[in-house]
Amino acid sequence: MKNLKLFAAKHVNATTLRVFYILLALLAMALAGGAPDSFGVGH
Amino acid sequence: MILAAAILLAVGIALARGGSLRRLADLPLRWGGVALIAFGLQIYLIYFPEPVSEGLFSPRVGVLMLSYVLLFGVVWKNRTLPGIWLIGAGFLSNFAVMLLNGGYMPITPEALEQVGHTRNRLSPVDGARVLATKDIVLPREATVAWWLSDIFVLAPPFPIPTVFSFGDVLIACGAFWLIQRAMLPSTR
Repeated sequence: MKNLKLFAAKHVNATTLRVFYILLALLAMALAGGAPDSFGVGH
Repeated sequence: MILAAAILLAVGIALARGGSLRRLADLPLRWGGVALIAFGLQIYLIYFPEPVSEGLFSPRVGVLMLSYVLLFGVVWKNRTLPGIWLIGAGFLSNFAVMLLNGGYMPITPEALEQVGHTRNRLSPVDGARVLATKDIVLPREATVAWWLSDIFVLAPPFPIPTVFSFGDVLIACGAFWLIQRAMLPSTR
């Protein structure tokens, strides 16, 4: 985890990380709150 | 899958309309980690389901309901963001129909067959769980508030054959609105 943080600090800028965080959070919200029948891999 | 596709499509449309990911970074979204926890709580229930629903007071349903409580918290924390109330209404719609039908999202055997997912049904009896979903198979006449359950069918040749609910539509619309407003320059 520490290595990952160091890598991110060196090679990824804060804006990219923030965009990644927001998209991930929105995806998590939609997937956790939604209930279609094609939820997962394999459909 | 269809909701993930809707979000990616919303980002693509915003970029095509001249929006930027840099603006998305400025969106003051809070409690994103809690949304991830809520999703994480559901993974076991979705990919390792019991063959038939064990009822509203089973531990699995308890965890599912807890995940929705966390999601309502995320919505409340972000209540000033555009479109978030629509996402919250979608959560509420899905949560309500699941609560009224034993804790999972009802889907009819006919709808499941239309999209070719019958093989994912884990038991032939009513109340059977469907693999990789939050669904249980219930006939229409046994479903409370049927109109809030998974009733909208996107059958093949649609590339992602899916049955989804009114709540799912609200969530997709809310997310679309939020992403467009976040990525496009303000018109004011």
